Amino acid sequence: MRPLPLVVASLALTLAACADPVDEQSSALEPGDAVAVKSDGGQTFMLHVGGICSQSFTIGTKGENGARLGQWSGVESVDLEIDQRQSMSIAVSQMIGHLDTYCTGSDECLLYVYSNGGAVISQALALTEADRWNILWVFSTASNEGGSEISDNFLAAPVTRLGFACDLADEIGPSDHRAGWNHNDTGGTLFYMLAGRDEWWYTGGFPDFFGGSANDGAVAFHSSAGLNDTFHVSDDAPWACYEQSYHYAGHQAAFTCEGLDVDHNGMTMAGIHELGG
Amino acid sequence: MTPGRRALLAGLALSALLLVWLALWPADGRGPVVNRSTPSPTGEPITPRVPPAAPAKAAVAPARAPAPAEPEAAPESADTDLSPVEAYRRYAVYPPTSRPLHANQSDLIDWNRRHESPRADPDDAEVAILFTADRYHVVGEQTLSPLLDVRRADEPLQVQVLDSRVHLPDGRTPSFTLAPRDGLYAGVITPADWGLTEAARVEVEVAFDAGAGPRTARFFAVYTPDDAVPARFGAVLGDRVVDGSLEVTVEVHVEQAGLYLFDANLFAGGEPVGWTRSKPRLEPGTQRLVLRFFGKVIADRGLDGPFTVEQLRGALAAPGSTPPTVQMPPYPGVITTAAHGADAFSPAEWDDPRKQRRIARLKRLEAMGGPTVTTPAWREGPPR
Repeated sequence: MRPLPLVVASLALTLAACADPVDEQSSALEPGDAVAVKSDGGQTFMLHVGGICSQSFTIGTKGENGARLGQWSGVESVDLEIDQRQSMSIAVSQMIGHLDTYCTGSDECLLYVYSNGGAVISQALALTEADRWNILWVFSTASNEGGSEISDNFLAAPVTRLGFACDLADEIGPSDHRAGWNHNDTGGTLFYMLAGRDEWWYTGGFPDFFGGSANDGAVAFHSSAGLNDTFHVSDDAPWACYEQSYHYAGHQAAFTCEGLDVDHNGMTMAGIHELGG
Repeated sequence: MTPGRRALLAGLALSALLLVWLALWPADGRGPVVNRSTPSPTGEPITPRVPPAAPAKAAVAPARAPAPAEPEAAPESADTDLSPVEAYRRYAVYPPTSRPLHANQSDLIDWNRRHESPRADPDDAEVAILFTADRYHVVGEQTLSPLLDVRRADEPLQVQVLDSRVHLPDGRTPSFTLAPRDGLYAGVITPADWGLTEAARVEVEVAFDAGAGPRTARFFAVYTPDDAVPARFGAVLGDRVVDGSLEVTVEVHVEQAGLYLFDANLFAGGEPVGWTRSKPRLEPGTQRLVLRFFGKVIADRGLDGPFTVEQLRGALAAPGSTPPTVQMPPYPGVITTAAHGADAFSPAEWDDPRKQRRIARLKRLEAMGGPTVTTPAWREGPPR
């Protein structure tokens, strides 16, 4: 038996099993979540959005030690129920509904989006009259806004879905995401991009889905740093800070120009840690 | 035992086999991610991580003649990290709907191009496979030209195309031909022949053999048939300077009411100047679309007209649908404006109640000790 099919089959089965939804009760908000009422009566929410194949930030989102909501003074954390198992259309329509719920009137929102959640909020803002929402900023960790080469693949199905065991995995490649909508249209909201660069050998080595470009195992730096093309990025290069014109408008680095030496799973919580939550 | 548990156990069992296999492989700390000099378990040379035939994309790949990259809003000064308030202030010197355009913003200039890249063959990493096409959105009578490029060490390989077809949402699978051309395999697909009446995301697939056994490659494209076109561009009604900004007015013949998305780029003497995005709600009938290029964008560039409006395209927004937009046929040409001088445009920063409200909210968040993020200053680069 050649080694690659063994590797792929093993990982695909293991990851698919790990992707099983957990008990929904475990996703309930922590009772200690801080809630602050602003002087105008509105609230400030931190909306958490998960990644590919998730049902919310805490259900189905992979993380080294599970995903939990961040907690900050004066901000109520919310775990958005967004189904990222079937299609972008479902996910985006659910995102729009949540923004209408939490981000209008005297309420205001911050967003913490992980992986493909970055694509979901980007498309939602680009294809709607986003002015109606009070979104202060979007924090995007390991963002798949620019599409993942793992999805955009043409090899055997187990490889195509490595770690992405749901139908939506077919819709999130670089062509679909980059040509699908205008990412420069954020509705005037700044996107803070935090990229990981600790790759996985089975996606960044053999086979190499990323052509040697920096990646976190699931998404390339060109996506997670908000770059406006699939630029080839060498490890440790400060691409996240190279001139605005290499980025989608309104997209800029969060905290670091080189990204973190963390893989895609670890990036789930890395941004929350960086934000002090 | 649940299916998930069975899968987990199967995975663990296979993982155990994998570990045995890995133990026999000299690893470098990340498993068998190896450099060019590492031998394989079979004694054969291991292929480098980057397939030789995979052309490493140039760091800068402008779609037009390269122009000196210039900073937007000049944030490259020796700044320290910026707070959200300061970062937003620097961003918002231009409105979110009209901003500077640079030659390396290929996503706006070559807006309909695809992003597939060569991949190594699963059994022979020296073989690089690229299956792509000339565009992502196809409208009406436009064609789609798929291209299959299989190489070993940068030399094209002879390929036997076993099957090539398109998977439509209604279950039909019309075939197409991929024929040899200059070492590649190219074809032309005419989606109008499919008789679709609604916009659709379609899968284009090819089965082939380049000597290592059957392989399948695929990509997706979005087709909008004539019957589904929601609106069409009409006559250009003129251009003028209004409140220090450039406004270009174009007729749009609307069939379907809804929220529309219009994008266009502005050039002067072939040099990129700015882009604009407009999102009006339009009713059926002939409507006037005003493309507004913000004055400071043009004033900062310092180039005199006449200007050209290029890459004018539009779509009906359909978030919650697949595909999420219904495309109009792009404007078929270039709109040339009058010879407005650069000094006709206002250098004033954008100001707007929405901007001031956002700054006030960001300040309040900062004051109440909420989560905060900093952004490093922009740097020159990347190295060329």
